[in-house]
Amino acid sequence: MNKELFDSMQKQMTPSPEVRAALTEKLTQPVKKRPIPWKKYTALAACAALVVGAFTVYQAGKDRYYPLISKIPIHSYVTVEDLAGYIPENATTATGGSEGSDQDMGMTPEDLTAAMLDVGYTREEIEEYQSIGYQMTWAKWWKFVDGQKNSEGNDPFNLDSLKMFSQKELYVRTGALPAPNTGDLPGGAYVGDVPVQEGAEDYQKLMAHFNGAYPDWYGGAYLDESGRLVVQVVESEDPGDKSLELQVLDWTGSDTVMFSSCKYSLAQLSELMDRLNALPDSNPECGDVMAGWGINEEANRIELTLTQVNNSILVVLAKLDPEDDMILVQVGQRATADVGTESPAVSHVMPGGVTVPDDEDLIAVEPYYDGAKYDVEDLPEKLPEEKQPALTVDSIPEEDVSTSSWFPQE
Amino acid sequence: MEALPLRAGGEMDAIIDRYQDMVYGLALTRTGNRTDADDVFQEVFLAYHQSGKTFRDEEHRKAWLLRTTVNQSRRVTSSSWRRKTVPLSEREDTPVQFREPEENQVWTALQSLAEDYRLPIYLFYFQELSTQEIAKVLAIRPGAVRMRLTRGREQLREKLKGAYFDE
Repeated sequence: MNKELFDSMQKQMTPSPEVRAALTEKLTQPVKKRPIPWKKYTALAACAALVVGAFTVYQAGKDRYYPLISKIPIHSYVTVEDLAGYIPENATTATGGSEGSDQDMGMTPEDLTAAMLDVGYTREEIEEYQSIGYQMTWAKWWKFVDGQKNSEGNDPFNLDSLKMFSQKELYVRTGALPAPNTGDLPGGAYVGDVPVQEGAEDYQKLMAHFNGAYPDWYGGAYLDESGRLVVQVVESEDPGDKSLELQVLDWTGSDTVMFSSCKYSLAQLSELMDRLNALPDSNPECGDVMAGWGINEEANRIELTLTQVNNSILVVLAKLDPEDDMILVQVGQRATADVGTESPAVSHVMPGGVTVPDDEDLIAVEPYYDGAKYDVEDLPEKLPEEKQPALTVDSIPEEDVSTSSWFPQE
Repeated sequence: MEALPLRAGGEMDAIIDRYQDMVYGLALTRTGNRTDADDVFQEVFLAYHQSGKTFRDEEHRKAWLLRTTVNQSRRVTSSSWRRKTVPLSEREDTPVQFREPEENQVWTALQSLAEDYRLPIYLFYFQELSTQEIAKVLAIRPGAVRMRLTRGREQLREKLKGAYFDE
């Protein structure tokens, strides 16, 4: 019964024919697109901009009063083992402000000349020493002088002892672009073994083609352990394109040149070197701690040695090297020419990537004559010329048994 | 049951024929007068036509129409423009009239209920929806539907002196 009542009521709850007809007419009309509420969107955008602006201003104010050092990118660095014996000296001079506070300052050529004259060196010895290129500092000079005063020799201030000291203690400034490989090394040594010489000749031919302007694909070159020239090609070049390799082989006229890939071109590294070279003048605070820097073409990076590290120079280096792989920063590195120590110090890398040879290489190879190959009874009209060592020594140091570290062979 | 296209907008006449009584009855129950129910009825099917919505099945379509009817009814009755411009006397001038006296009696009792009780009673007794379906349409829990049905029935029994609304 109830259901019948409800059904009856439901049947009476129906729209009138007029309403149904009006709905049918509305349905036949094209659908009106709902207007875009631009005012609403504009108001929302304004509110969002206001919130973002207020937040930015708030953060800026916050940073001004509470600077967050961690937000400022700084360059990475490595600390080397000699740190304990080297840094304290510089730390004292850097923070002392007392007597001797200038001991970490580099000596000008005039300063060095005057100081060497004071202890008895001759003008010729001074010129010879300065031609090597060691960057003497006041601290190291007084260390040398004190050491020699306490020695037992009759002539403590001779040139060889100074050279030996310099080899162990001093950096060689390597700020310039790689010069043509002359074979000269700090200390008057030279590259003497024949395989290295062959690679060096290839390198010189390559440099002659570049004529000081490095192409973008060239990432540097170095001699590998067997003395062969290895040319670095920038990774962006198509590895399948062998035209560069063929061109280099054609330039050098050698079939022993090898190739490897690298990230940065030598032009990029050189440009960064220019900026590093200018840094001591533009930023003396940075220059005070920059001991030596140079391009290591084998590692395809610049190696920079700092006497001590501070946030200021690390921030500057981070700006110069945003990807943190173009400069290797070493702190406390005693960059020496002591070949007995395996170290990636700057001074170990010659211009052109040639590594400093071992002690044995420092001894000149005597000329020899390979006449044994010929029949002495049927000699040719002209004998083959004597083969000379790779590079001749311009001046042979005088023998001084008391101080020299080597003796002539009998 | 006749198969209808599940995509909104197609075969509108068939869709309106099938669901117009349901939509109009709910709108009338919710608004209480035929003028507003006419507006809601038209708005619901226009919205259906323009939505382009695709439904899983007929139950889905039915639930969508009921839910839209509730929303449109609320929008019509709560609009500030309507509250300010439509005098109460106009609504009283167009009362819903049924043929039988007992029908008018039941309708009057139903309209005297609060909205929370009125809609579940209508959907349960007139549209014969389950408590689960009513819960979905009104967006409340089934337990709340059962509670409102119980209280609504009690109030109607009091008003109708025990007639029509049994358990």
